Amino acid sequence: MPTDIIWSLVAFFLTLLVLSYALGDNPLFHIAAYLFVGVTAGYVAVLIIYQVLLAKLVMPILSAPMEQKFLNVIPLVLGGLLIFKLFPRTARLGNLSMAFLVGVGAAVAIGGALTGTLFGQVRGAISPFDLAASEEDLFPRLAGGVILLFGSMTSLAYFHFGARRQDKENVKQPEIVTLFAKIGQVFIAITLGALFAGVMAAALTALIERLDFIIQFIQSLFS
Amino acid sequence: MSEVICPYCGTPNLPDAKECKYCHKPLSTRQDGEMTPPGSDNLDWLANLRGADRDEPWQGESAEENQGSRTPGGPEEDDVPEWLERIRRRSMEDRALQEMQTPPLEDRPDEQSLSSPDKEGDLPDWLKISEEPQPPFPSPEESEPLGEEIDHAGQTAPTGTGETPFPADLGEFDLGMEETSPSGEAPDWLEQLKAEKSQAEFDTGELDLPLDLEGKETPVDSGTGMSEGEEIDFEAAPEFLEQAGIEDFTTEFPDWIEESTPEGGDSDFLEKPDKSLPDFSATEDIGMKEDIGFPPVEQLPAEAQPETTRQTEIDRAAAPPRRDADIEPARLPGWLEAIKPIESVAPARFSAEADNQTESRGPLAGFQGIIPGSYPVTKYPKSAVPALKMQVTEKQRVYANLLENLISEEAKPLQRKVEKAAAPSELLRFFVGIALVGLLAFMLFSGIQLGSLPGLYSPDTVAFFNTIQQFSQVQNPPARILVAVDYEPALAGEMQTAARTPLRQMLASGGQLIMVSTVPAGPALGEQLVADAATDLPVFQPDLQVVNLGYLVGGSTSLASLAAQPSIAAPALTSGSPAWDLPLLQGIQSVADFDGLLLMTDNAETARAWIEQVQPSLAGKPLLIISSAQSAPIILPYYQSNQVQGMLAGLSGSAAYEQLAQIGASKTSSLWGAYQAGILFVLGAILLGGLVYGIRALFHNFSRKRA
Repeated sequence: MPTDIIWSLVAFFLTLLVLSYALGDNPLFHIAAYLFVGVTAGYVAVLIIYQVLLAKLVMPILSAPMEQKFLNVIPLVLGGLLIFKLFPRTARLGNLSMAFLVGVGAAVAIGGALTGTLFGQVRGAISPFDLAASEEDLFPRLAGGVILLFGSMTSLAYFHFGARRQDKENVKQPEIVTLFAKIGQVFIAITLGALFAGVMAAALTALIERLDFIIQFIQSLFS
Repeated sequence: MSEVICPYCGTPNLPDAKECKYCHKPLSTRQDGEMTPPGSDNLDWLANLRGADRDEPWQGESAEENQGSRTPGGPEEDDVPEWLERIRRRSMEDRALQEMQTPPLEDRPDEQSLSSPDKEGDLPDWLKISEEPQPPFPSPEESEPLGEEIDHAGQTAPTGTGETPFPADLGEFDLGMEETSPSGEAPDWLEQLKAEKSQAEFDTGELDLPLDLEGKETPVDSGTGMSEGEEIDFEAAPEFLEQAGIEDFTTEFPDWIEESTPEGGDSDFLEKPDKSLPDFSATEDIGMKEDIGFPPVEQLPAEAQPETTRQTEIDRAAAPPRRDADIEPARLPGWLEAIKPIESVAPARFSAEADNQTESRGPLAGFQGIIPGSYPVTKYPKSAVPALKMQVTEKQRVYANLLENLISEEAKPLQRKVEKAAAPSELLRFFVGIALVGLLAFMLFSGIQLGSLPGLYSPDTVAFFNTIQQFSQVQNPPARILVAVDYEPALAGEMQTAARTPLRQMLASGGQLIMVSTVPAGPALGEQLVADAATDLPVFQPDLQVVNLGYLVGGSTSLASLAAQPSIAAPALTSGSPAWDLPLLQGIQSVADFDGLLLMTDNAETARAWIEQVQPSLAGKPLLIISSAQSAPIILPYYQSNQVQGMLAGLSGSAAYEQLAQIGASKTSSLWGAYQAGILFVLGAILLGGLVYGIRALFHNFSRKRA
């Protein structure tokens, strides 16, 4: 239990140092910030060494069968080439590794975005209009689908910047697009308001949890 | 004759050429190949030529015209051709003009010699002006008939200078001069003319010869061409001038000659060709090739052997003109020579008077013979200084002022508009922060609840609860749930509060949790989360229920790898030991072998990556998300599209879940009062701030309208 008290005391003081930012930028807050940065860097370094390099690069080469060792050498070579990126003269040697990383990353991201987000969201937008799916709560589902579809259309219309040239000087959007764009602003404002409310709620919850920790710690000291 | 010589510029042309290739003037060719100027079938062109440059006699020209105007029979005045009569008449007119005019300095013969022999209308203006003054000495043909001139040639030389001795027999001497021509290229027409004249004189025996040459051989001075023993009366006027009625003949040189006299006053330079002068004989613009100087004695065989000389000249006249095949002399057309005022730009020689001038000003005052460096400069007037005062109209002045104002406005730095704050921002922030912290602390310390826990549950929370209940009901073997701990430590308070109850339920039911993370702090946060959730659980076996696979490096790529082969993506535990040998992970080949996936994240992008990369590989297994309140609005559409089977967002979601699970006192319920108070405080602050700024704006607009 003394260990818990020590760590709770450290957490208490660090929490106070961070909350001191309410008084403005001060050295106490800087101490806490530098301490967090340093601890995080050290923690990440140890984590990378033990859980990435040793566990996923060195150990497979040492313990894997002979036929798999050569395959495990490939990420070692590619990772070694990335070191040359640190020096401008030899940076080109790391292009192969960077090309592999960027190419694979782009392919994975695009494929996932298409199958996971685009197609999934389109299917979700039209699913409320599937009358054969279920007759339960049909009207609310249809109403929700109409609002969802209308909000999606108007929000997309707000980001439509195309216009037609009516004469030599006037360039004007079609009136229907302008109307949809204005309605879309309402949906976008509601969305941004919801995001702001979520951010505020998350920050408020974190503050409450820290204050509760301080109160619990103080109570534990006096109890 | 293989080529045709242009009478204007002397350029050789092809025999069939219609016009000169150089000056583009027409070439009229006779049948025998000889060429004559257009518009003239006889020697009238020579009269025209004479008329064009009759006002520009010079030494060489005199000799040339003596040759051209020489008649074979001097005594026979009736046989004089018409063109010669016209020449004589014009000579008389010119001589009369000489008496009335004194040649200016700029009308020196050497300058006039460059004038174009073309027609008067083709001359440039500056040449026309210089053409008017008459030369200071008459040309030989203007003085008297040639026969008489030859008779008096042995006494005095009919030169323009009046002091320069002249050869007695100009006719024969001209022949010798042609022989000594530097270029040796006489035009064909001139050669033909000479040949015809010489042949006629030879045939008729009327060739004018000096008396001395007919009877005996008289030694001739090489410099003067006079016979030995003869004396020249330099003071006496030439006879041809006396016959012309010129009485004020003087032996003095004109001013321009005096000024050009070399130092020492030696006048011998007039007797010899001035080597400093340009070789005008090289110019063919007037069709003459004779040297302007006198030939030496050894080049005068005609005086000693007249018969042989005549025959030689006849032969030479019949022969084609000699050419310098190697070096082609510079040929410029007359018009180009006229527009090249070399003398106008070349520095003129300063006179002896200027050299002897005593400096009167400056640091060299009193010195004599100073190089008058400033003389050419002072000779020219100062350049006109344009008026600096701009003449502008009133409209232009207005526009200029407007442009100046615009530029000055642009150059001014923008004044930063400082808005007055209702209170100092730091002080306001301090008081707001203190108020919020004080309110929350009071609510936490007092445990006051402003309202009950939420009684209305969102569908996503209900679906999440139902799914967790299904996991808890799975037994033999218990449900194996893949738990992704992907939130940052900053939001650990919210995430742990929201995830504590569901995890506790699963652990209490014997569920097995396999934790992975795509953030570095995830493994540690996962262990802390499990430790917190399993607090005071009566039945909990950490080694059998919880496996921490650690950190997945690579983001979306590692998730794709995890979805395909979890054993390769996360081969070891956080301690470094192999993970997939544990009994907990036996039979797991892909993510579809798990009973479900529970994602805990505070980032919508992380949630999207899991949904995109792993959810399709779950093969219908449920995907649950515990998210922070800040990312819930973005993740919620995935629930509505049935890609996520349940979601629990923030403290409010946790409170709703505890209500559904009918859990009494919990940490969520203890925080709920402070959370509500904090939400109300923030709402009140936003409304109050908006009201204050709205009222200020209203009064500001009112005051502006009133002003």
